[in-house]
Amino acid sequence: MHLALFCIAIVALSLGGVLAALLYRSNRAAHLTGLSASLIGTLAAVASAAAWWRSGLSTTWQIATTIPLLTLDVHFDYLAAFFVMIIGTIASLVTVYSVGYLRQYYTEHRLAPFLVCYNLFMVSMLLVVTAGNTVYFLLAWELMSLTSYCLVIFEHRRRSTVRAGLLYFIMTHIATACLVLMFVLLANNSGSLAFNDFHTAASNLSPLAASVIFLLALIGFGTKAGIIPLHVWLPEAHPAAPSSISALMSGVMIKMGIYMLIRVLFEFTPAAPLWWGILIVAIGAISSLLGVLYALTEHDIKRLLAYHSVENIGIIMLGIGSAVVFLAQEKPAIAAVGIIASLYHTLNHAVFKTLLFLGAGAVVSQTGTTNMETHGGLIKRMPWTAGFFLISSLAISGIVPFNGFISEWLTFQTLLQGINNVSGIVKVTSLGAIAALAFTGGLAAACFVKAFGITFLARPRSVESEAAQEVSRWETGSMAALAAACIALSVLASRVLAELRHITTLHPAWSATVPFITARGATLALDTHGFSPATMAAAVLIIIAGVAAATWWLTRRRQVVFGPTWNCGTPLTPRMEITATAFSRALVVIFRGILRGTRQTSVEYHDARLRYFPTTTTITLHVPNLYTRWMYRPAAQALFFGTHQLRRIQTGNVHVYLLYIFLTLVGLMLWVTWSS
Amino acid sequence: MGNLVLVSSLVQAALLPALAPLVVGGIKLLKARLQNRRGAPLWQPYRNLWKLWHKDEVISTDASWIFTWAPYVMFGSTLVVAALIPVITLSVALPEASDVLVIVYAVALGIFFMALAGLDVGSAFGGLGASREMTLSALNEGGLLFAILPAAIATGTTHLPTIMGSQLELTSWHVAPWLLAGSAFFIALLAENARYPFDNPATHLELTMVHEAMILEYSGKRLALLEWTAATKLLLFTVLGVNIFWPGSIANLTAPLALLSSFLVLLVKVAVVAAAIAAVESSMPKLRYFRLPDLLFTSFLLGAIAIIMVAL
Repeated sequence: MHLALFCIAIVALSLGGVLAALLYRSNRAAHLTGLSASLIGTLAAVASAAAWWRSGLSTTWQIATTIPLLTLDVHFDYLAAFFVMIIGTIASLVTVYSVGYLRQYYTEHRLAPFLVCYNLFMVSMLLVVTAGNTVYFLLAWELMSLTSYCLVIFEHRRRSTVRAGLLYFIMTHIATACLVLMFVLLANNSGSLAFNDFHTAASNLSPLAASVIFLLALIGFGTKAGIIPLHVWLPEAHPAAPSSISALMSGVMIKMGIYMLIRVLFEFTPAAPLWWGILIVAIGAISSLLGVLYALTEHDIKRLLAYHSVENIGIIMLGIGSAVVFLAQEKPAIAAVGIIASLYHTLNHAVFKTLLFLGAGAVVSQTGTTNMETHGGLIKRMPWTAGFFLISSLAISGIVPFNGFISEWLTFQTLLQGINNVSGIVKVTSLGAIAALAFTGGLAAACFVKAFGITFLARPRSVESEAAQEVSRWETGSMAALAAACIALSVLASRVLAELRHITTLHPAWSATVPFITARGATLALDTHGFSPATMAAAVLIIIAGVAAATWWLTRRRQVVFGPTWNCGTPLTPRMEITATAFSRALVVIFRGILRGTRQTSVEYHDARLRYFPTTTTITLHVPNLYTRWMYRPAAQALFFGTHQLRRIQTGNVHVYLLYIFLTLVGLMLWVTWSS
Repeated sequence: MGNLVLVSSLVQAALLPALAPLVVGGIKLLKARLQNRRGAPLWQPYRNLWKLWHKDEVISTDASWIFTWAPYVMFGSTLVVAALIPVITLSVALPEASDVLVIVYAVALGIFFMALAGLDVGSAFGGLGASREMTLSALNEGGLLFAILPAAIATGTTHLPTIMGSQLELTSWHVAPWLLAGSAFFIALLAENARYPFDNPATHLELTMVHEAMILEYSGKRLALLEWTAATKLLLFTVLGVNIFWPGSIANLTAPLALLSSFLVLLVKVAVVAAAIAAVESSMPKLRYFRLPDLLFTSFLLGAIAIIMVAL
């Protein structure tokens, strides 16, 4: 059943791509056929995952091909089905959104290539999470990188877009190189290319080989996920891409890195030593804290959201890392809570980050710019978008009673268990991670007060914002569904988490039911005291509604007068409002040791000698990209220098080449003699 | 018995908002006396609330529904927290949601909306106040959490009634971490409630104001709600601190007599903390804005040291 549905999904998506390509002359026809096919395909994918979930038996479906090394292994287990569900749900909602959103490109772009890539992108992601064989996986992975690259450079007439695309292209291929190397090591050990054999041969891995595999996986999949310092492509690629694509990339695609990291850590190399976990927790803590700090420095709404993806990937890594730590210490029950926390945060982040990017896309499509300093007052012009953006802002800040809080609560609980740990290093790491998580929560709230407040509140700062209108029903409808999911995933958290427990069958140390985290009814019990997300959410919502109703009833006779904002008698212009830069300036100053912000002031005076009356004052604030300056630029320079040096051996003289051949021969013979 | 538990938990949830103006009045009166003024009577805050409640209000034409709803969200979230923490008895109204993290992030809900309301009217004051408030609360979140976490780690749970219940025995609690975490919590309390040296609760239209800048545009019933929220929040944090760091008064059972004695002891303790706040405010200048992070990081570090001492 689920295989048939999965095939329908893949075929529908591919067919949609082909049809869109055939109908390339008419944007409207390509648009509608392409998107209808992707809607059918993604819904079929959700149905296939749901059908599989009910049976719950790991299945691998093999198709041999005539191409050497390539067999198509469609592998379903709880982890794969979970990710198929995320991909399918989010992609179907983004597709609905795109029905309205892509109309703005009718006049100036050809949509057919976009839709071909869009459909193939979804196919590739579905194949990545169900692949059970190395070559097949790498092909799907590469297809995912290439199609997403093409989608990023859709608006290729802008120079900055092409540059951003190039950076993404390079970074993703460095990652793939690491992955190929990792798979070679794994296949070398197991003597097979199938993922199942990696799992069974895992006990033969030498500790050194396992550690090399782990580091390669961390670099390869970490680049896709966007951990610091491999995150540099995120803040460039997300603003360059159309917003529906940013939403898919940030909400779903970067999770493919998380998916494979989990598979490698718990299935291919299950005997993970303690230091792997410590390293992952450290990376998670750094990524979450620095991610939110960099987000604060941004006034480009999509770059801001991209940095928040880095932050949330960091929070997900905290859960994965502590799971590795506790497994290494043979405490599988607590480890299970860690992995469930990270999976739940993956789901939650997929929901609210997609919603944020779709909301930002709606704003950008109306105002024509991602610069928040020219937005403002949009809550009156785009009330629905504003409301949904507010819900996702609260959710991503981990504020009660939304879904982000539940997964952060679970992550906190796991890390707290780390403090009571026997090992000193685990204690210190957990303490640091809790501190990072606590500050991340507060700073994220500050950042989203800024993102929402500057974009949607007060008076418009530009003519474009003044003229903005609510987007179409397709777009608001899709955002409404995601906003409802933010609340539902909080109220129904215990039910969802009870289902997620199945995924922990991944690792041999986890039994099918983990005693530590139990869902009894609506209550989630981590220890003897239950915690009920449903009660919490209901209490907050009911009491707030009660306060509002009581106030309204008791004061219904009182008059309300409307008048202009009091501003000390000066005229009220948009320049009276605070800007995005000013809002977070204090935090940038406080964290100047990390952010290294610079400030240049240039003043021109009426009278150069007296210097009392300035005509103009210009202040340039800048936060440099330290990673480019200290890591990527030196690396690129070293690469160019190295290749330049290598050129010296190319003299063009035949005799010299003969000498090289001779020397190589002698060298090989010596090596053979010595080694035997 | 079941009815008694229900009644006592509801009574204790209502206790905080009911008594909060009294505490604010007490602090104001004590401050006045320390400054050689006669001061307004103890129940003046109740009169103010009553007066504001019956006034008409002016709302800015720039304001959106965020501005009109923010007071409800803030007061509502404060009421939720009041229903979550044990005040005089350990049986709270919503035991399955009474969690340290829930409290910290439910308070954050109110702060989030207050900052948005400050931005909403588009005045120069509101935006700056929102920026300052979010900066301070972002930095304070670590300190607040780390002040409570030593107790949570010592008891092995974040369930608040359990933490406060085990404080009755005082076995897992040593003097040094207790002192450190207690001071950390006091700093976090001052920051969270816009008191000296973070903010001056008595000022309007000063360039340094934080909390007052955000609520500048409010009037009438909404201002009354906001004032009431601020007072409730102060009492709420005081009670939270008292019941964690100065345990012994909370009743384990719901016998009426035990509740009454527990209530009276709590009143004395709250009066002592209120006197301490008044003393701080009368003897200390307000710190420069960019010195405040140092104080907040101090609170955070004190908490971290306390955690290390408890966990080792």
